[in-house]
Amino acid sequence: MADSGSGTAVEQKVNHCLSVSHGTRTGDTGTSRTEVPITTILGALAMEPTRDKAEANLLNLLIVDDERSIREGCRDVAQGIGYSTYIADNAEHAFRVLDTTSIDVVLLDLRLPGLGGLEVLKEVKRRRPETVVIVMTGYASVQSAVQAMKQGAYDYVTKPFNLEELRMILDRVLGHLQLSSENRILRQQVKSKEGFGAIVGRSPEMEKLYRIISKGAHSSHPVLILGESGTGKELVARSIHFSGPYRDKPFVAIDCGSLVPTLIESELFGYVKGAFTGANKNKDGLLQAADGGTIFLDEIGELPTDLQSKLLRALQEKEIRPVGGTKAIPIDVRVLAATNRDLEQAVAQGTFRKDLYFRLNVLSLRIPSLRQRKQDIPLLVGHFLERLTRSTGMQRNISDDALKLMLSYDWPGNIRELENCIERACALTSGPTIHIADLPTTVQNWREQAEPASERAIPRRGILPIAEMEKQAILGAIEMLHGDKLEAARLLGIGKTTLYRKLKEYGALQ
Amino acid sequence: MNTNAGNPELPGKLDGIVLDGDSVRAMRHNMHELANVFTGVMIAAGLLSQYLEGGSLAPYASDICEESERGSALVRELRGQLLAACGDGEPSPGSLPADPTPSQF
Repeated sequence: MADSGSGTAVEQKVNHCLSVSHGTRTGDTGTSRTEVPITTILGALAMEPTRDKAEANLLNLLIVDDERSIREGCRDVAQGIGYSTYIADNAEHAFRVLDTTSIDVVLLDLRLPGLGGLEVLKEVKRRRPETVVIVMTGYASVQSAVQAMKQGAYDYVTKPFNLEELRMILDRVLGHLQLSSENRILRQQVKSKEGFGAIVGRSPEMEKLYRIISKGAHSSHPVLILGESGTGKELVARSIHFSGPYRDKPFVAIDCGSLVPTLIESELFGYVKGAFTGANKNKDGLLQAADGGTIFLDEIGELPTDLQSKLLRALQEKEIRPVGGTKAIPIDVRVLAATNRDLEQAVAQGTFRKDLYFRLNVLSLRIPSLRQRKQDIPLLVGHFLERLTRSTGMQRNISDDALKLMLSYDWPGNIRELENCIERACALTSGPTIHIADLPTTVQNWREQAEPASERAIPRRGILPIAEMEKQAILGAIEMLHGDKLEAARLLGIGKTTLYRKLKEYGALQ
Repeated sequence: MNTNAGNPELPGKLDGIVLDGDSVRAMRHNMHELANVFTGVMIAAGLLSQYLEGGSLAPYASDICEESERGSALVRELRGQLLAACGDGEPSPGSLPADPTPSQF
């Protein structure tokens, strides 16, 4: 056939040019017959007032009909408008084209040999939901047209139709797709005004992150999200899930660090009735709840070693065995994991399984800390103030001095600390403007370090407030111990509760 | 139903034909085939007409366009009648007006 069902649009165009240069048009049967050179007809069509050919050229059209004359006629008209065309004479052929080519529009005969047109339509929408399908119906039957529209067809045309009717409908689709594309661009612009999805930031570091998120969203591989506490690892995980093909499926987040170790197993894998005292009925695990969608394992580095092997087995075998159960349950989940710990080091120390690390680290991305993207601070401050205005109904703004100080501060607790700082300042301020005095002491005290010595009345270089020294000691210890808070509390000689209270105060508690 | 009005050559006893399911199916199939034929002709004729526009052969192409449009209109009309008589679901015995006027054929 002239337009093979496989190959790229470019190849199709080359094939087409080759066939027309000899003044012949080849039918599906492979036989050639001399005809009026199609180039001349297409040339004449190109003179017709129609939409911008270059715009339509971006679109791939698949024509599915068992009638050769209709297939080829429609193809020539569509090519005249500027579509790249593909033809198929049956359902199987159509599916092959759909699998190998990015088809934008399908012109589909409802009455096909073998698998019927409605079945083909269903399959097209299943494989490529965004594809626009126009059905050609032979019966003028309202019933079949309604059925097709219900199954997602964009429009229908009743046979017999002429060239003008066909051109009109193809033009309409072109308009529709242009509009959708403009909307998409607009949405993208709105999105990039602040960031990606719910993530806020326009710094080069964040733009790079959005590109990786976008790529990760369209794959089904596990993603390991790395970043300091408070950088928004869960937000990134949600963005990956909700901007990809799993967006309509469940997203289940589990914080491995906050679960009681003895409960993690039953939470993840579920349990059967009688598995332990109190298990008076079967309960599905979170992995099962996420079936078909995404499970987000936050603080994966905190997962006990014995459960690491069980999780690895579940991911490899794609099945789970509930606690106390003997029967394996198949699962199909995409795994996103996050940690603020150095997992490579944990692997070297033997606290994290190497095989699980490799299984999770297929794709990895690192979220920049807030101090690495300070230019996003005004945007983030504006975002949080706007959100607070919406929830409280009170308009707030920030003084230049306060913002300047916030820009100089290092934000060890990252976005969470910044958010906490804004909320606190809004609660404390008596007027509509947030001033330095409304900011937390840790930020206020930072001023003294940040200000040049010449600006201060009394030189105090090297002198740190006790509160700041304490903060640095706590955060430094946690960093040195790769996030092990219990060990940090022990070595600092303070209680676990005190450490958590302090971290909460600093806005560094995840 | 008096289906003989305006058609003196057909006797009034040909008031209606009762069709069984198979006949309805066969008629639908033929209608579909006819619709396909006319679609192919109309598109090819339209392309040809554009190519020949202004030339000495253009009137012939134009005639094909016009005649195929007429043929298509008849197919639509016949299909409408079949639809009215038998519905568009699974064929069941239905009656079809048996007096197509000359303008319909």
